[in-house]
Amino acid sequence: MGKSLLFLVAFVSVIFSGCSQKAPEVEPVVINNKNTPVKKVEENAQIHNSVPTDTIDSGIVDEDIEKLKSVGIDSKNVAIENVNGIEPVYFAFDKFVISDRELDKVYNNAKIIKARGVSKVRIEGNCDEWGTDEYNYALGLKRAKSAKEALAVSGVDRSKISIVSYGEGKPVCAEHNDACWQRNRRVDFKIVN
Amino acid sequence: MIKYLAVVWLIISTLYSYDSTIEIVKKIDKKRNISVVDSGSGVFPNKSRFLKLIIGDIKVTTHFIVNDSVQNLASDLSDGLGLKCNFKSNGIGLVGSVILENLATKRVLYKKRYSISDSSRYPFLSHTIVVDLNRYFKLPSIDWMKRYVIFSKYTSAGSSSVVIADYTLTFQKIMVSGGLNIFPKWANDKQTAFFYTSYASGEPTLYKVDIYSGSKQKIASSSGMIVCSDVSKDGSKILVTMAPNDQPDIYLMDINDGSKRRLTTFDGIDVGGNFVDDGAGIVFVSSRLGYPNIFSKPLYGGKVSQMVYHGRNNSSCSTFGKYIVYSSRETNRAFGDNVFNLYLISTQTDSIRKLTQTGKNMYPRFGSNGESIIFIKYMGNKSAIGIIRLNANRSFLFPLNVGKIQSIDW
Repeated sequence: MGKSLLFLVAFVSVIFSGCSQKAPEVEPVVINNKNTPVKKVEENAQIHNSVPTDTIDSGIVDEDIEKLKSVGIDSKNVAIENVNGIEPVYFAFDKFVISDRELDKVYNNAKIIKARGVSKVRIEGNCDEWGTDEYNYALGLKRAKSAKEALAVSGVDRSKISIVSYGEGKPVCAEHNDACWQRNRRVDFKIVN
Repeated sequence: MIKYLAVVWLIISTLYSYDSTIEIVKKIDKKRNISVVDSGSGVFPNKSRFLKLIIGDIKVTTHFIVNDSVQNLASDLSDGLGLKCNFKSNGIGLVGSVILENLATKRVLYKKRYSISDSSRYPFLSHTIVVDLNRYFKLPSIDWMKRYVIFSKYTSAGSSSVVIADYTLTFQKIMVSGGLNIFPKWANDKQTAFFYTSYASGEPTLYKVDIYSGSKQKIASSSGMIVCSDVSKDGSKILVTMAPNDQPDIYLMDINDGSKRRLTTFDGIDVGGNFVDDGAGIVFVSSRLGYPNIFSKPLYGGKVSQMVYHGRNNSSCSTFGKYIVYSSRETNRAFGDNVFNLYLISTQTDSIRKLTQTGKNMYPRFGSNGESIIFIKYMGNKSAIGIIRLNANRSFLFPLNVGKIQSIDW
């Protein structure tokens, strides 16, 4: 047992004697376009002697690129009617809860929709440019869902309401400023004929 | 005794197992100096950009020390390697050769001939030349350079195109246009098909497109939204965010029989499912803490675990094996500029590695080998595509002129 332990200690010592490099550090990668200065290193002499100098016809297989085939457009037009008096509802940054002030707009929209006896309403959720990826589309969807619930509570038949999210893909304002971002955090109420 | 040796072996194995979340500070490798030399008199459009792209590609390998400018005369150089490029236009394409020479000894190391049938594809010519250079010295593979990148870019309000490009986005070919076409995702490792979401029918619909035949197959549709977030290694299963009951959740869908299983049931937002740990679990983005953050759960049963404990808005992630790269919004300003940085973590350790420092760094996606990450960086009104080489602890930016990118996959 004693000999075994002694052997073990010696073995581990040998292993670790070769591991005296600097301890691992966690450091950020720095974004840049230029090479980080690196010490100039002499050309590896091994290269000069061991590599063949034959001429090789490498070519480029670019048939794959040539074969890339675009998909045709098969867009279906949906008849949308803009009704006077129906207003978009705006949301706070990163939120999908409708504020009291905006809720009044939903109730007013509900009145108009019921008065016109429309058969279908589509609520489109939208976001500003700050979100990324799927989360922004889901946020737009939750905004549309909040508006759907408020519309249903106001007496609009739930089965007549559909919702869809356009994420940041349907901005009404393309500038990069506060007022613009506010206008893009909204839901639109569309009457589908 | 055998037990002791087994324990020691286990300890040593653990010590030496590589973890990309930790940057190991190494001795400086012996990198070769190389200069790109324009050795021909041929003139063709984009010649200057082509030669600069070769320099950029060589830098991105991180395996060489490359001179920043194209040399016109190899005779001016007396040290290191010279990559002598001699190309000319043949009317529609480019033909020419590359000679790699040791400038000190004037010895030719290799000569290769290249041709492309359309000069607009010069970025792929550049990438191939540099992949060949890298292979010649038997350096770690950079074959990912020749892979396609697929992305969607907004063209106007409610309109976006799906585009296939090289990794620098210099070469671009529009694959889908007309209406809102978003979230393209490669359907397999060979990049012969992709998924994307179309709004053409009025209801968000997921399609699969064969890039060589152009054939389009409807996979599923959903009210509200539908997005293919990830594809299993064998291509048979996909993780989809959809909202059949107006509620965005993550589903596992079998491509062959169309069956699907709901994986998340939270009444807030669950999106962006990505397979992790060789498909044993998923990592996803959820609002269950009141803000978007990264969580994981086993594919079958098990509890949801929080993966990230910092940042105010961690809404985008990508996985490779046990690794997760995600974008984190470090500021919480409703108005004004926000800062988004990229971080790398592992499901197996508590280490965290910050990959960027400034600006808006978004859409991180692992490359096919897991050693490279592609992302989009926004700087004011300008944007650039970034490549992070994890093992080399280096990153590179290529300025973009493509408009606003909606989503990207590599």
